[in-house]
Amino acid sequence: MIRIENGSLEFLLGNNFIRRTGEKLEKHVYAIIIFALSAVSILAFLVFYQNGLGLAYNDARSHLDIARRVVEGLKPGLAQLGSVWLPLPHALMIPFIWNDFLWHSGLAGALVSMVSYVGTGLLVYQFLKNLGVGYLGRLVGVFVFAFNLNILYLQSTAMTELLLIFTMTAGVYELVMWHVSDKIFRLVKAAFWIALSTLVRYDGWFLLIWAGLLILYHVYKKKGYKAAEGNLIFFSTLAAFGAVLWFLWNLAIFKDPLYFAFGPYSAHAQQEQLLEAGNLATKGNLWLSTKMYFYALFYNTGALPLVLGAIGAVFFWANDKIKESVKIGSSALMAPLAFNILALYLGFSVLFIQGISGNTWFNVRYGVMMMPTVAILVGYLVDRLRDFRWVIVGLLLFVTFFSFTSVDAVTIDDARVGSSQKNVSEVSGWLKANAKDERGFVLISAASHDAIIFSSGLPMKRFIHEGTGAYWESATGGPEHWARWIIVRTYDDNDQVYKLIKNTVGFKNNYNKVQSFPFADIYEIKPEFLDRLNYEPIFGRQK
Amino acid sequence: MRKIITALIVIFISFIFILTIKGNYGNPTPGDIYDNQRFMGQPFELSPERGRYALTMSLARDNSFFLKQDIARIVTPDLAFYKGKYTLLVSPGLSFLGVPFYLLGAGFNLAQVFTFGMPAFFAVLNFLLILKICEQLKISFRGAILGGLSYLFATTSFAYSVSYYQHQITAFLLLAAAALLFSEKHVLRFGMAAFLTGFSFWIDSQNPIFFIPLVFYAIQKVLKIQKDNAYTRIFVNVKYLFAAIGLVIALGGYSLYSFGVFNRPFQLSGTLTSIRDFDKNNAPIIKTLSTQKDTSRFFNTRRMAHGFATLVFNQDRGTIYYAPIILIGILGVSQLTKKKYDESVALLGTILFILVLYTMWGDPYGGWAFGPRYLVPLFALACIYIGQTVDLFREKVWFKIVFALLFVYGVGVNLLGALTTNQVPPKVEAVALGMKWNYMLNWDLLQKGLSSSFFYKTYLTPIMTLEVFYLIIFVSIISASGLILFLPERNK
Repeated sequence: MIRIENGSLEFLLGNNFIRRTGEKLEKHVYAIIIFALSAVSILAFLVFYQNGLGLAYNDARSHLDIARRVVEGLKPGLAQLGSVWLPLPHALMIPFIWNDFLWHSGLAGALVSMVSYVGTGLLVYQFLKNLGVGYLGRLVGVFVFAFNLNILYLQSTAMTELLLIFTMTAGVYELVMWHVSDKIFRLVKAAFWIALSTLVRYDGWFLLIWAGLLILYHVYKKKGYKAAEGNLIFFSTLAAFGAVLWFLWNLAIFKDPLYFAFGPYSAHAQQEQLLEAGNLATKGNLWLSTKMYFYALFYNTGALPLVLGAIGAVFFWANDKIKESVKIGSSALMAPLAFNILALYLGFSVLFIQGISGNTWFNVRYGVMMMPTVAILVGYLVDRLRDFRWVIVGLLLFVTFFSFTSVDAVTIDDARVGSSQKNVSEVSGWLKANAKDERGFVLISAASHDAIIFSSGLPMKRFIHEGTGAYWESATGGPEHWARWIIVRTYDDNDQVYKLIKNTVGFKNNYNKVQSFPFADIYEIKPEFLDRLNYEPIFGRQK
Repeated sequence: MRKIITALIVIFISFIFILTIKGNYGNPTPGDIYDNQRFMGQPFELSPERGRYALTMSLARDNSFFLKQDIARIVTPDLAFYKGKYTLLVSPGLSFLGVPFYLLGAGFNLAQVFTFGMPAFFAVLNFLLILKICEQLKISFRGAILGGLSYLFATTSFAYSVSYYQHQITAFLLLAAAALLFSEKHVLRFGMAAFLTGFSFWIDSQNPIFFIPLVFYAIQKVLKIQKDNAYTRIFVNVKYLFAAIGLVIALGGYSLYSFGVFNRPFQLSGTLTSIRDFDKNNAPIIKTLSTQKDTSRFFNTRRMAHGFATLVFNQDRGTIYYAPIILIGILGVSQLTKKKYDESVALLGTILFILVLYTMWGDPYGGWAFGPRYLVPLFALACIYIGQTVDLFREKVWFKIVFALLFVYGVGVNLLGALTTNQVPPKVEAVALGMKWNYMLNWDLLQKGLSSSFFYKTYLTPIMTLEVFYLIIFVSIISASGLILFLPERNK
């Protein structure tokens, strides 16, 4: 009720009303967060999609193509999940990817990221609640995570970061809860989420090892070695299940359990090339590795949240009231930091920061992996520094406002101007204009040119690539019988198509180079050989 | 007794400023400025002084908001072009305030010196406001004076008190608004604080952002919450809503000015077409579009880490190199917050807003400048916490020694800037030019005897070297402040 009395505006609120409203909000807080984050998530997707940014990362297009090949192409099937990347993100896209709009808009992949975004926001809230943090701190934590522009961008794409963040945060959350309660079901849940994370990216494997060590230490301290060993085996049975399956998968499909690690398309092979070119400066240099990753952290989380998070970490780990086991369990929040620095140091990973590694970005998005950790620590700090909580909240709002007005998303730069992008629109545009309404297959290496396949708008079944079995073998042995068009990087043996066909008589005699672009050349069969081509997928169902 | 001590200190401070104000005798014409006074150690060595002084001169001499070509020539590269007329790329408020000083000085053939004395006048007012706020926050008189003196002489505030810059005015507006709001609640005081908030836009277009914490402080002071068993009542005294009229007057005034001059109610000078220079035929050379400013990118969070390092740690502009005494204030934050929660949070919020905003700024160096010039208003507020720290450790000898060392260092460094030049390049440029990039450049100039001080150049050059002059001022400030720091308390 509002009334004016003695020159004062008076707002009258019943205490019962306030209490009931508070209770209702508390009761429905999860629904409110889900609703709010979903709304923000959808809005962000629309903004980035309408600005043509949803598919800016080439990797996003490749992820979508991998999933698409499972349901459509010359040789559809689960084997198309391949070995380059871990399979869970693509497997989760399969229910949506059959639809051409969901495929080409990127929404089939973004949906997975968007759900992960909402889920991680809830986890941040829940994590802080279980640390005894009040409402304001919890909401600030969620805000810091949810309104980070890099997070908002990546959740609008088919990239794997949000799914990894979600599964890892869930795993760490359950692990900490197990440290608090010692309930075995918590350990099962932690194992489940960590197992999922091991199927998203290899960061999850590091978490698996970290979690295993924490479990070993926690139980050993309480119950001795035998119990510790038992708990570790119990945990690993589920948590390592995904990783073991991945070895078996590689063995079954590629006849080598370590094909993912050392195969021709592996990160290791990529790093070897970078090393030869002198572009792997972090390898063997711990200081540079740490510096690089901290730069990536600054750029992704934002300087203010990172500084506040660091102060929050000091308060958290110095707080005597928090049980030591919880502190030790929570150290798993730092796993992405340790993993990324170690991966750079060992040369398993590469990261370019503009200004340090020349004038380009590459993989700078790895810094976003610490975002839930930073959000949780900022939320915790707000709760601890009660006297200054409104100053902190004000500063965070202030800086967030300016991060939006200055469109400060380093991941967008990483995708658009860094080494992660390739402007393939010329090649794909040529294909769209010249091949879409004609008959005939296109021979292309998906490992090298997946972005072209995606952007051409042609159905997957028009392409003969590494995963098409007999078609690939036939076409690379005698392209003149199968490929009306060939897309290759001429003279580059890293392009599997070029490597396999360069010495064939058919390629030498039967094709004209019709266009040459920075990332690929286009060859078309000479008109006089058109009648010798196969135009139909004659091999039927292949094993 | 307090009033007498305050008066004595004010006289002392004013005397120091008279000795150090940058300038030359005479009422310089645009030609004088262009030909003779644009160089290192001269009063118009940098474009910020030249630009603002040019508008003051134009207002006083030609009664015009636009600059005639002879005046416009001295303003580049801070010159803007609008419909064939020249104006400033920076906010006009300082130039307007300078007009009475210019006219007064012109009568004594000291138009430039009087105009440059205006920031010093505000610096003295800022000292008094620091005393006032310290009193409101129950900080001792001794702490308040030491805080105030630290601000005036041991930070970069010193160098910008004796030249024609806007920073002392911004500090004044913040301190005055805080002092008004911290006083007993009255609608007129709130109205005046609102006016100062709006007027800050005249001085620098980003200034109103710094008042946000004070606005929240004012709002919570106006709200009264009562709880009983059945109801919670929130009262808002309606008359305080009228305080916003102050804001409307100040911003309305600006929009009238802007509409009259640019045909737009809120034209930001920084976004006008920018003139780089004039060619041989006196035709303006317009900056290419890529180097023009874009308002949406004034503040970029991507720059924060670099900006923070620049303003706090770097050798060329870092606070720890130019005003380390400010760090002492951190020790007093907790105690002041316990004692005066709302006020302390408002002050701390303002300090952090200033710091954070300028870390996002495109050029945290402030161009060629002496120390972190953008942080001068921050230093003014931070010195209140220094006063609190002095109270907290008033009986500790170690503290007095640490304070004295930092104060002596601060005065030593900042007097160099006040007496020689503000034209110090940032390291990124200095390395390429083979120059020094911090106060060591000023030290070299001191040894060479190159001074910007009007008093020294006019009256003392034949009598003493610049180094002796420096030492006299240095010892005077240190002695006066040392007396206050080490004098035993009366009740002991």
